[in-house]
Amino acid sequence: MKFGKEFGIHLEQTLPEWKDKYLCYKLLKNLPNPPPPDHHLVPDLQHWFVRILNEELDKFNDFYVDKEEEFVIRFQELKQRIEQVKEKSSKDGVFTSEIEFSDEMMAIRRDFVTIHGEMVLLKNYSSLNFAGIIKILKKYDKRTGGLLRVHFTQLALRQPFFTTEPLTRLVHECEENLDLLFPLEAEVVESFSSSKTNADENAGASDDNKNSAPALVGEGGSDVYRRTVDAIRTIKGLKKESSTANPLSFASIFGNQDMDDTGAITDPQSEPDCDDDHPPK
Amino acid sequence: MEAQSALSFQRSAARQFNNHGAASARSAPLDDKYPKFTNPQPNFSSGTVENIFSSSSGISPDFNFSSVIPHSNLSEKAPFTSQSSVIRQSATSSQYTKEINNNSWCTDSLSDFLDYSENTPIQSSDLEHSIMPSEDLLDYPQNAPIQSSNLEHSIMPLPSEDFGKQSNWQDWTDQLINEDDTLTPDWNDILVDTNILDPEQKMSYHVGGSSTNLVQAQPLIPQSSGEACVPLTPTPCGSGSQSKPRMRWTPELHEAFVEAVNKLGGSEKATPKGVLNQMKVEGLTIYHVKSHLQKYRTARYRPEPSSEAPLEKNTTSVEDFSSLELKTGLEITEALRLQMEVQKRLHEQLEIQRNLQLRIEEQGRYLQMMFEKQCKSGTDKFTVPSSIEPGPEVVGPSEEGSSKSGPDSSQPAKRAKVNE
Repeated sequence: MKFGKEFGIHLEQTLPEWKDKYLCYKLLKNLPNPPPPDHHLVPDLQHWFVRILNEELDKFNDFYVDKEEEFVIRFQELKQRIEQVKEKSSKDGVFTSEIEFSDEMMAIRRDFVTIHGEMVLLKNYSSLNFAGIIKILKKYDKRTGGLLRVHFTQLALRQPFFTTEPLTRLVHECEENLDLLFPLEAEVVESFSSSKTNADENAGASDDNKNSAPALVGEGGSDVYRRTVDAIRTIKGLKKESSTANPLSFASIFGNQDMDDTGAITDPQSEPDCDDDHPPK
Repeated sequence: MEAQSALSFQRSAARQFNNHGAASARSAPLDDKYPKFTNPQPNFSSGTVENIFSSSSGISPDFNFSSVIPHSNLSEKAPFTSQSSVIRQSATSSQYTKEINNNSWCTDSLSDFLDYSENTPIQSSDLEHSIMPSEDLLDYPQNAPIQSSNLEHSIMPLPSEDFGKQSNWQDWTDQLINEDDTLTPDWNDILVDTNILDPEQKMSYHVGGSSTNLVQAQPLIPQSSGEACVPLTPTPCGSGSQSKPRMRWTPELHEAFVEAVNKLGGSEKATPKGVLNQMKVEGLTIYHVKSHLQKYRTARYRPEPSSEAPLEKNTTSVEDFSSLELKTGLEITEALRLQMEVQKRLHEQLEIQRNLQLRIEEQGRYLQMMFEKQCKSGTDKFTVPSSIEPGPEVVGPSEEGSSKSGPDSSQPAKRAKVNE
């Protein structure tokens, strides 16, 4: 699908408070339209346009940096909670309440997964907006015969909202922590739950997992899950975008090389897996 | 008992986790290497952007270099004029050097911390458009290669005098109205302003943007000692400073913050001023601390919304409680695993996409530069296609990239034909 459409759909799926932090793609993609024939006005036009884009960049930056800060705080808090649980468990010879302990551990796991999801979604935000800006610049250049894109892109590349390395580091750290939090999970949980009964429940659980995952993980979690799935769908949809697909383009060459199922250079249109993954939402 | 063994297992896992977690806290592994750009092209700053804008705007409506050339001397000089005017206004080469020196210490700490970028290879090129070295130094995640160009086309590190200007919209519009073709210097001012916009915000963000960087606090990450610098996206100084200078909080900085808060008796007792003094981080203002403290308090007293809801659910009824636990213990974990898989997948996709975007843009910029070089040297602009060929020695993927960027660079060539 075309970028605008995918972008719009994604906007619908995203959280309300995020929605107006996104690029005003629809609004901006047609500026200036029609291109003014009066050349004398064009310098103004460019300045004005650049100003608008800068405002958009500001918007992204504000939101991104804000969220980043929030993640840093929350992440550190989570690590702190683990410390506390650890301390608590090492203090008491026998844990005062097994259930309490595993409750807390479960809650911590859940929170880690949630924050991980939110961080990745923020990266998605960053990526989409950047792509949108590039597209708008391309359209602008096309319309006005300008060469704004290359230079403004350099500006955009450096903005905080697109310099996502710190966030990526956090994500990786989160994944590591989670690996440790899920150690031989099945064994642990099974021994815990086998002290009661419900073998049947466990057997039946795996089938329901995919559908019940959102519900079980709690409200915050399900929202993240839904949005994550939507984000994946959006990316896939954008890859299939037809208007600029080019077998010789970087996107085709490098994008496909990274795909799991296509090792060779293929036309982006022919990705076999794209159609299977649309969740029936 | 099994239950007990489960507990002890979890405990040891927690311990193991803790050890690892501690390691993670101190030195987050930098797995995601910033894509290494092998080509030595400088990073364009918006300073450069501004110059380009100004030159083209001053000369012709079309923002393309082909139209620059027909205007002969004026146009050819235009980019340089604007830059030299900038230099006149804002920086001399000596100032440039001085500011480089001022920032050198920051570079060191920067490169210490940021091992993922080819951090400060300083390369000279004879490219006409230079960058703001400060910006490269300061722009912490990305701007690795710092390149000095011929100083005649140097940079625009703007000292505080320009900050005074930017808050002045009237000047901006007046200049616009009064512009004539020789107004390139003014265009620069305007463009600087454009990129800066509301000083309070712009200053904070346009790392790439303006002028602000050099004189500003540097977006540096504190040393492992937890002090020294603060990763500020440039904050305004002097007349430019506004109520809300923003900054990027890193985990390290936050740790220092938490330490300070704990020393002062906890998040409730600690005051912004106290924390500020305790932290002793240069460049940190009380506004930063204040807002951060607020967020911190919120995070502590309302931990993770997702953990609250289910826990409350669990305590509603005792029977439900026990059955809920055993029924969903395994399920929840599995659900979490599944969710993690999906999230990881999205993250992978995003990383791929990002690398792609970076590569493409870098390639486009390189080609653009080649084109500019051609124009500048005054050679036949129709040789643009051939100018792409020398690419391979510089960067590997250029051949592949050129096929994509071909349409882009041929466009100006076409326009050149038209204008001739």
